[in-house]
Amino acid sequence: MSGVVIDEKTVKNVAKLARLKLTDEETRYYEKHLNVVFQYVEKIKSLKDNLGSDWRADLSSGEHTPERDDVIIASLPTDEFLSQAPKKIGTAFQVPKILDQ
Amino acid sequence: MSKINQTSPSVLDRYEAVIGLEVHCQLKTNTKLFCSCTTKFGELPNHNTCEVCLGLPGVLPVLNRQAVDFAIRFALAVKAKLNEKSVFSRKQYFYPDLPKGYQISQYDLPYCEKGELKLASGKTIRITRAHLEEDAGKNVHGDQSSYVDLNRAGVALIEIVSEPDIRLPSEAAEYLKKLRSLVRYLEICDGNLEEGSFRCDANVSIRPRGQEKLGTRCEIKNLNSFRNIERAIQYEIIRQADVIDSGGKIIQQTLSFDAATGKTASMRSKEESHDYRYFPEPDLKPLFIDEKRIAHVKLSLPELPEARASRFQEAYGLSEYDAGVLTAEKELAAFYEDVVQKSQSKVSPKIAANWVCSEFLRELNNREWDICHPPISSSDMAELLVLIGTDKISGKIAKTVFEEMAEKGGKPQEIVEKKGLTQVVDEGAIQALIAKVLKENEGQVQEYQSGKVKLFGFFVGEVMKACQGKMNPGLVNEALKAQLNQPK
Amino acid sequence: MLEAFQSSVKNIAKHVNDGSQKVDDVAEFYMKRVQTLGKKLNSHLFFDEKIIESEVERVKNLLKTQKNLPLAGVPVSLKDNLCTKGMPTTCGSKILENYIPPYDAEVVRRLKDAGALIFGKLNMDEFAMGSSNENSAYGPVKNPWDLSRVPGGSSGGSAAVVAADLAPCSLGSDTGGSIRQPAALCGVVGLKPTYGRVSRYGLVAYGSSLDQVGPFTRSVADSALLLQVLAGWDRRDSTSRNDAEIKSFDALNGQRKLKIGYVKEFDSDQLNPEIKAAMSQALEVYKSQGCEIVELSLPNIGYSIPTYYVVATAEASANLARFDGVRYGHRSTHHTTLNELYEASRSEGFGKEVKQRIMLGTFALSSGYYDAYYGSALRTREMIRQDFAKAFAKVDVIASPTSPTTAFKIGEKSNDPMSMYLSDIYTIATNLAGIPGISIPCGFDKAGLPMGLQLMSAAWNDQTLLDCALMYEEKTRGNGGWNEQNKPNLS
Ligand SMILES: [Mg+2]
Ligand SMILES: [Zn+2]
Repeated sequence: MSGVVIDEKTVKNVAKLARLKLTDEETRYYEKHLNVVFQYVEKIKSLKDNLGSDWRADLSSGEHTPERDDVIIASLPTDEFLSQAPKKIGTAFQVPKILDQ
Repeated sequence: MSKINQTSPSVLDRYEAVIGLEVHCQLKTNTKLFCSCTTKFGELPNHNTCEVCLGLPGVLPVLNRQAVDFAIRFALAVKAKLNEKSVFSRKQYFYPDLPKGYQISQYDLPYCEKGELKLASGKTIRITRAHLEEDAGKNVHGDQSSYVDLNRAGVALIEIVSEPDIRLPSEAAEYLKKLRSLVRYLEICDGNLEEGSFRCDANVSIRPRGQEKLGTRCEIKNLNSFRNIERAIQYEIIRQADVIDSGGKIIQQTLSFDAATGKTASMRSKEESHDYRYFPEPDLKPLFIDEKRIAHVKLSLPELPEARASRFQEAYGLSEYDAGVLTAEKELAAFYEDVVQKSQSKVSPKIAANWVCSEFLRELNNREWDICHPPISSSDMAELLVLIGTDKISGKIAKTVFEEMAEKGGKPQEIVEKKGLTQVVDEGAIQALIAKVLKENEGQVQEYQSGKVKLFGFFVGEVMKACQGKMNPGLVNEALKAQLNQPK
Repeated sequence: MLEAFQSSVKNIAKHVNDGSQKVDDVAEFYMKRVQTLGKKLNSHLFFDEKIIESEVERVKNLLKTQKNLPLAGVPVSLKDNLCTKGMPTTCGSKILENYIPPYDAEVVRRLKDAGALIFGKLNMDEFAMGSSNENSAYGPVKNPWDLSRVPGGSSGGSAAVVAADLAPCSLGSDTGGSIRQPAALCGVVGLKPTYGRVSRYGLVAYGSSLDQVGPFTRSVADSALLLQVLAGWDRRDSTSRNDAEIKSFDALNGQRKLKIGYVKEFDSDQLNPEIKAAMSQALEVYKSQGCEIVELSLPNIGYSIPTYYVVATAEASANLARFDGVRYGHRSTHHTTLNELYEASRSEGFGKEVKQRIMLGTFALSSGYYDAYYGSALRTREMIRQDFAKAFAKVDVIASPTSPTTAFKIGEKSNDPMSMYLSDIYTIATNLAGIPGISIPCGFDKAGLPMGLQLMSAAWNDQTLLDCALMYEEKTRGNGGWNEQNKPNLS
């Protein structure tokens, strides 16, 4: 089983996707650990299943999602959650000015 | 812009544009897609939010039945295939208006596929799919910071994706107008482009005429008026042609359109594009839409534009064109039918149609009236038509009265009385005025009597001028004929 | 009247209901125990006497109008990933250090309605990611049987407080063994119900398709009693089932002659021989009670851990995206741009293991790798589920060790990710299959550390599981198994 090799560039790209900032030391640490875990994970590719190519996990249970009535329930009083907001202006949450869209 | 208009025809001689549209329609449910917060508009920031739509830790979504039923209505109206089972997925990206860091949407198994919409030319634009998803909130940009308001976060949307069947900017605009009209007919979306309840992104590519292979496409985001949609696509076609003509390559990218400059500008290239990492939403089981439910929704389906147009042709004897104009918007069709109903015994539906299609629509467009609350109500319009039908005023006077109504408001009857515009039907007065006019134009009378009968129209005009249009044209015609044909 | 290790949930509720025990005294007794032992165990992340007092008042008021409340006056401590209105809920993470939810989890609402006292919030591995409690941002919980050892995880605090009797019961959550493994390592009963049996509303999600809330108790009967209170459909959890009501306690029956399977693939070099021996003994106990023992094969069980680490981390990477420093939680001061705000807040707020799992999951879902990893994992998961379905066509219950080892030393496994992940080798498959599992004490190793027996049943057969567990407990009480005389010495 030849495994995937997760190189430094991949680790950096994954960290960027996940909005994590890594030091060089952390990058090396996760490069090592991700490789260890994914070497182990490779194993799942070897399983021969009998499910057929159009099998879908999400449809396999046969159950369907419940639906609720379109009836308004009073929203949360703003002070109950705004008290948790690290930075706000009025009742809006504040973030640094968004430059690009 | 001037460049576009000049080069446009020649560019389209050489290149064919391939356009596909993605439309987001906000559904008019009382509550959001996955929580029971109101969808009401215009509250203070974050006042219509709860733990679910704020994305607080530990919350779970529960699907709104009404949103699904509205979505089914749309699928039925565009003759699409409804999937018995469809799946919600998480679309992941970081943005302050997206509180969970993912949007619950549908990805590889949407609730609806393969619909179509017909344009006036008879051309069919295929609809690839439509899917249910939740809206994001709003970021408001200040000088130093941006502010996040999540009132809109979680509102139900259907995203409608067309096949790249559109070839012209004008076709794109027509498709969108039709789509907007349709969702308004269906009463599932209020179709407001400015307020963002109906939003459009366009995918545009060009290829040399005769070439099969598609060119590289660019996506234009957030087009907020029909005019801008046409302008943006037009600009983009020229821009791409310029790039290719000067030996360059089109780079796949996301663009935004600046209405002030009329230009598109790059937001991000493909390399910077999102990796959305879709996967099935584990907090929701599949959505189930069976035949019974579809049949039930069918019963609630209102009359759609095409059906209404045929009915207008049959019931009111209208031309295909007039029926098409009157049914293009649900509210206009309703206005027309109100007018007909309130005036039918006195004036034919055909005349009513002429008035609504010409005078009323002209003022509606010029004065940018809201068709939902027009300053000239259907009752006023009917009253005016009844005045014509009962010979109280002539058609010409009626136009004067209508202009007054449009300009200053007021009831037709009152305007007629105030301005003394009531039609003269007194035969003596008509005879006397005709005699006076004929006397003043003896020469023409002689010519007429010696065979130049074409002059009849001239006499009618003179009499109507003399009475300032107040005399009944029918009576004038009769009396005039009688006097002129009197042997000398 | 109260004495440590002498009270059951059932008895406290009974005496409070009939007026022979005052709610104030129950609260006072356990408050004292928390005050004297809580620090030693590092078990609590939040414990406020004022709030306990108001809980006592609330329950006393409830008792004025309601008779026979199933948990009347029973202190229940909660794993700190269960949202409590007005009480901090940190998930053992810096990123939620001062976070106070504005709403109660559904299980908390049910406990309150049943007359329970919400009795503090418990230490845990950060965001329930871990098997030793060493991943808590607030330091590891100590195992009450040996303070130099881990209590297991991620619900380490929940297991430790029940083992040390700082509460007669507690709630935890189980994504891959996080209730059963610490229950085994601390010598208490830990139940993970069928997925969908108990509402997840208000449980801060780790792996949404795997997470389930369940009780820690010192007896099977108490476990059944708590399940009866917690179980049932919740309109706010679309994955809970509307026929999920269960009379687990009222219907409890320890005399059923069940068919019990043991899995040959579970025999491995990793398994501590003492635990293996205890397992065999446990099967003998069942045999002696007229149960039939059957050898079984679960051919794909070896894929459980890799499958789990793809599914759980993929879901976690999305579930933890909401912690961005904007609406709640830690917000870094080291930023100028929006992106820096995200990166700095998340990097400062999340611990090492959480970052690792976010990255594992992000990678597994990223463009070009989805089919190879997440897609494959869903297929192996289905094969594992089918293995269990076939097995439960033959037997009522499958028995196995809960953990391959007894409690290990703090720091012993912290540098090798796989050796820690392998702690869950026996528990993880039940989460993948959505079936219920329970860990019950089955004796002690030579070092005096508790060992756990795991029982599993088909989905929605939680009752069978409890009945089977009860049979063993009744037969072994005072007979080498865990009992009231054998208890941690913490003085
Ligand atoms: Mg969309
Ligand atoms: Zn809400």
